[in-house]
Amino acid sequence: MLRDLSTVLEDLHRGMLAAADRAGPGVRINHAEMSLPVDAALVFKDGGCVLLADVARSHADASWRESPSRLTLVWAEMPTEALP
Amino acid sequence: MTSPSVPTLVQDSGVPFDVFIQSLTEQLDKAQAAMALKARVAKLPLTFAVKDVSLDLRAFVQVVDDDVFVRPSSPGDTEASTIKLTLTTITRSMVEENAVDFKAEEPQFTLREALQGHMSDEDQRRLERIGVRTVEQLTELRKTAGTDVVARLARMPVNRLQQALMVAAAPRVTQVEAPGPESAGNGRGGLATRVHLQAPGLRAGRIPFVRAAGQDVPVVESHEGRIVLAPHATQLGLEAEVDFGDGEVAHVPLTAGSLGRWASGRAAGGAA
Repeated sequence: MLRDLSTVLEDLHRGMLAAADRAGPGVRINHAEMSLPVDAALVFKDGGCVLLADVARSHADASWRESPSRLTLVWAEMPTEALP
Repeated sequence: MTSPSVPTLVQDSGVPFDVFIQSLTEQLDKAQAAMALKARVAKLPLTFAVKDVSLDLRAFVQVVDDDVFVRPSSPGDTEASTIKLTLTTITRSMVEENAVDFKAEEPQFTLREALQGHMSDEDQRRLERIGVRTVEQLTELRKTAGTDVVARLARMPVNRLQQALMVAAAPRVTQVEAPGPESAGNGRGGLATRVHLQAPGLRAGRIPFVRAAGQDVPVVESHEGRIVLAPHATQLGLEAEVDFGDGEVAHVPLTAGSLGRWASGRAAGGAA
């Protein structure tokens, strides 16, 4: 089931924060990169065009795609006040 | 098998490329806003933000009527193209450094206000998509690119855009300049209140004929697109009739921030 791309990004962000919290003592994550196979679709809803996407949950779910779309995210730690 | 509820063009060709880009950036903005909100609510001094996003989208690309349409590939599709997009995040300081100072431009005359309900929300959104948010931007773009090009870029019918331009070209009061205290006793005498009007349709070298309360209103300056009036005290606040010649007559109250309107019967083509 595809979801709004923003929802997927928020889930990935939550995972990123959890991973950073679990980093051992003396280790701090300040940069991470994810390269994920994704399925994407454009639908019209709420009066506009919405990009839906989701990561492939398992190889079994996405094996029918020889070459899926790919989303690459670079996460960087930055001051909250610097966010737009 | 195609769904009857989805327009044929969407099924076959997808959506215009700019609509796709807009939907992508909207999703990214929405996600960034949600992530920033969470960090602020939790009072986190540092948080993770998406610095760069790359999307290699498997899609079919088609050109329809000079527009590029994109349709993401579906299960079972083969031979799809790959569209590579890379976006980066701008920080608050970058936004502040590069933001246009709307206050310095013309705070009270956004496109929405100047058009006074003469344009649908959808048409205004079409113009905003190409970066036109103020009357000045619209008239400047029309001057440099032409009405036809603006209409094509905004995906608007030319006649609707011309109608909007006509309304937007009505004169409006940008500033009412009260006489300073030094003018009273300096012997210059007669330095009255100045009313600054913007009139995008006014060409250089033409001095409009202005009347209010049955009397002429002195025009002390006339430039391309703007005039300065020196109305008598009794004319301030009253509606002035501005005759640009060639049957172009507008009415505008002589008060700060007033928007004018064209007299009925003015030809739509006369906005140029």
